[in-house]
Amino acid sequence: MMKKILFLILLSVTVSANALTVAEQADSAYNKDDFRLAVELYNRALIEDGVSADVYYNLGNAYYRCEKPGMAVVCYERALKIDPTDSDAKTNLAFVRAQIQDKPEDDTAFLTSVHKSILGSMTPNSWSVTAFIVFLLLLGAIALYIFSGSVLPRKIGFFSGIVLLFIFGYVLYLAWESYSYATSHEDAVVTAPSTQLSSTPRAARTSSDKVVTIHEGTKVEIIDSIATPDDPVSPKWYNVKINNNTKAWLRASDVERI
Amino acid sequence: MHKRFLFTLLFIAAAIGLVAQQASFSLVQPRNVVEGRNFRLTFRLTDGDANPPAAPQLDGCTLLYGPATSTMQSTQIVNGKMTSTYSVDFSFTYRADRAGKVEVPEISVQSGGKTLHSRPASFQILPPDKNAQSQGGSQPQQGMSQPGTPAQISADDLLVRVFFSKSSVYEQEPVVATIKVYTKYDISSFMVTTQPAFEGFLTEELPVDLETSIEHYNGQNYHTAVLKRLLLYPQKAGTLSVNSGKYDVTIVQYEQVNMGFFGTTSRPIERNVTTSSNAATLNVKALPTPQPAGFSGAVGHFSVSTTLEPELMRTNEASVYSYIVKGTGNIKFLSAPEVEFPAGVDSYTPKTDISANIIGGGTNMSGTFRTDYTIVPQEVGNFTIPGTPFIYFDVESGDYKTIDVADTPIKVLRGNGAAPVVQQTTLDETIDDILHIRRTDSERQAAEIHYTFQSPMYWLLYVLAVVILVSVLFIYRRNIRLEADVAGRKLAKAGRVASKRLKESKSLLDAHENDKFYAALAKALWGYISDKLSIPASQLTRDNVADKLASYGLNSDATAEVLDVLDRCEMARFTPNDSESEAADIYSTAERAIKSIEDVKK
Repeated sequence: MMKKILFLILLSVTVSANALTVAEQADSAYNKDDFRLAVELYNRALIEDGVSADVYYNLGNAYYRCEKPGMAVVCYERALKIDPTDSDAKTNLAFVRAQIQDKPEDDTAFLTSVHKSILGSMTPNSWSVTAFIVFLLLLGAIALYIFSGSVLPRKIGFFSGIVLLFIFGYVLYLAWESYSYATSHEDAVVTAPSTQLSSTPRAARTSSDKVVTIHEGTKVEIIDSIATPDDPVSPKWYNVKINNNTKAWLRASDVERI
Repeated sequence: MHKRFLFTLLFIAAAIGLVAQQASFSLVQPRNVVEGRNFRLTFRLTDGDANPPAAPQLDGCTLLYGPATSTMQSTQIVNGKMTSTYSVDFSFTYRADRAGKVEVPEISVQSGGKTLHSRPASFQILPPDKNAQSQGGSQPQQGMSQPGTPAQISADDLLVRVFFSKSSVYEQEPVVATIKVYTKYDISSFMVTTQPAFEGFLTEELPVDLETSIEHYNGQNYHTAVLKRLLLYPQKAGTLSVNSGKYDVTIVQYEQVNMGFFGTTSRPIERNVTTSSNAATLNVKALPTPQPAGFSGAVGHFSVSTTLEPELMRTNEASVYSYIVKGTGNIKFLSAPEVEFPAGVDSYTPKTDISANIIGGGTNMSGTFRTDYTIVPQEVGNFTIPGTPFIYFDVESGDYKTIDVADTPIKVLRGNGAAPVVQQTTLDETIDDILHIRRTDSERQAAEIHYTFQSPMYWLLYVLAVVILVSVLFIYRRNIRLEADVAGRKLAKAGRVASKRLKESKSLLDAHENDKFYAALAKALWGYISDKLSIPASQLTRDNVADKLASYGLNSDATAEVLDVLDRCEMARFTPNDSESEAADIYSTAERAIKSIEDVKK
């Protein structure tokens, strides 16, 4: 009992000592248009106090104001990983995307986009809970089928059970997909003003090395990486996929994993 | 403005002169002289009467003669009014002995009970020509021309020089260029064939006073006259040069002619000379970089004010917003500031108005640069015209200065004009920026995000739910089986119960207690049928039993026998007879009936 009181006192002392958290200091720096300081403080807040969608969103804004659209995209994507329902982050991400030089190939089919919008309507944890609720409903339908003596409730139980089984399967898949997206680090964004896409994991030396330049803010999917100790610029190269079809190599130092 | 003021002053002075004949005393500004020459210093007393003043003591000069007095009178009749001026000149003749600057002190005279003072002044005694010294002493000459046979005109005898007032200036900082002619001879005509070109400059011509003076230059004394004075604004950095101009000059030389008996006399000879000026260079410093945003090339010293006329605005009625820059510098070459008017206020192409005067003896320009923006508000409400800061380069401090201009709040009322056609705008098109940050809540920050999906507890819940369902199912099934067992046992037990009850009734029969015997026998029979045929006690009726027995598979004879036994039991219970044989017969029939039911094979 005594210990608990002592702990509470200590807690209140620390709280009053740190009246302004690092993130709050960063907020006020942002509001005073000191965006460089805001970037620094938000990054410190992420290390010291942990991550949240709000901090990533604000950090993305600060990066955008510092004219680093690449890092801004990274931060908005990270915010959306934590909370896919964050409409502010979606709006700003779309806004920054519209300003970057490389236009992403828009090859999403109707069903895919419906699936994506359903996926983005809830957080991974909400999807998990929803899956469990649907599972319980499914069990209920099974129970209705088994225990009911009459024909009509048994029929209702049977058919709703089949429908619920499909819904459960889809929701469980959504839960898995949003969870695995939130925990994966396969996507990356170009943070250098521009970088060379090379057909081999080294800088182009001869004209036979086909090279394409991509610009800051473009999203790539990392498939593989290779250590390149000879490269003076970057000790690592990534094999990346762009727009789901083009495969190429680029310097690891020019991109930031989401 | 300035001119008008001067005129007024002149009028006042004239009026005073008419009334009081104000006396004045002044020194006629002496010109520069060459060492060894005689010169005259003249004081002029106008409209006064005084004794000649004592000769002033001048450094490096010897008083030769003076004062000499000469009087002048002039009479003017203008519009029937007569004005007359009477002036006395007091002249002192000096010899300039030593080159240097000579200060003429203040001299005072008494005139009509008043003391009049002359202004102090100064002039230069120039050293003599070098070649003249080499010829062994100077001789007084008329003009600068040599006596005797006219000498060949050398390049040094006639010069045109261009020079700048400063050697190094900033871009846009004004500098005065002077073109001066230096001559040792009289000039009868002067033609400019090629003007010096001022490339890289904006120029402003300055007025020239046509006085000549004597100047010492390169060891020679010259008569000089200013041909041209220009105020220049360099437009680019670097070393800017003014190329030489070309001039055709006719000079006059005097030839000594021997007239024999009449001695010698001098005769003028005209000679044509072509000369060109020097090429002057000026070092122009670039304005320091980086130039602040909004800097539009103003160099000098300025102040800014804004006005709005009329201040009360109405929709569709024009107002004028004026941005007034006052100051000294390149005021003529400013550009109109870009004022951003709020949305809902239409603005038209601004009108600029420049008024500038030359100040500082022609070294700079001062004035007003006024930009008038005609604005017509289209919407009712409170708006703000943001103050456009004015940035200029201060030459004296060598850095950029910013004048902050205050915002002008405006209030627009509905005008009398026709209501404007409202054009609806889409809101999301008007805001073209990212959304603002959210307030962060450190409570929501977590070192690690917990995903329900990866939690074992989550999956355990599924297992638990399945286990619960399965166990419920299991218990349900077991209960059903148990219920089914009760019926079976009853069925199994029915025969035994019945035989037990039959035995009880047999013992009652043996004890000759007929009433109790019939009751026990009926109970045994009914109980047996109830258990065997699973008929609840409430549905135990004769008809029901007949149906059930038939459906049980008992043949009609046996059924009839069972029903007969039941009937006879009931009968015997309510119509007592003590016949032992009757009772024994019923008993045996009941035994047979039960046996026949038991014998039915399912």
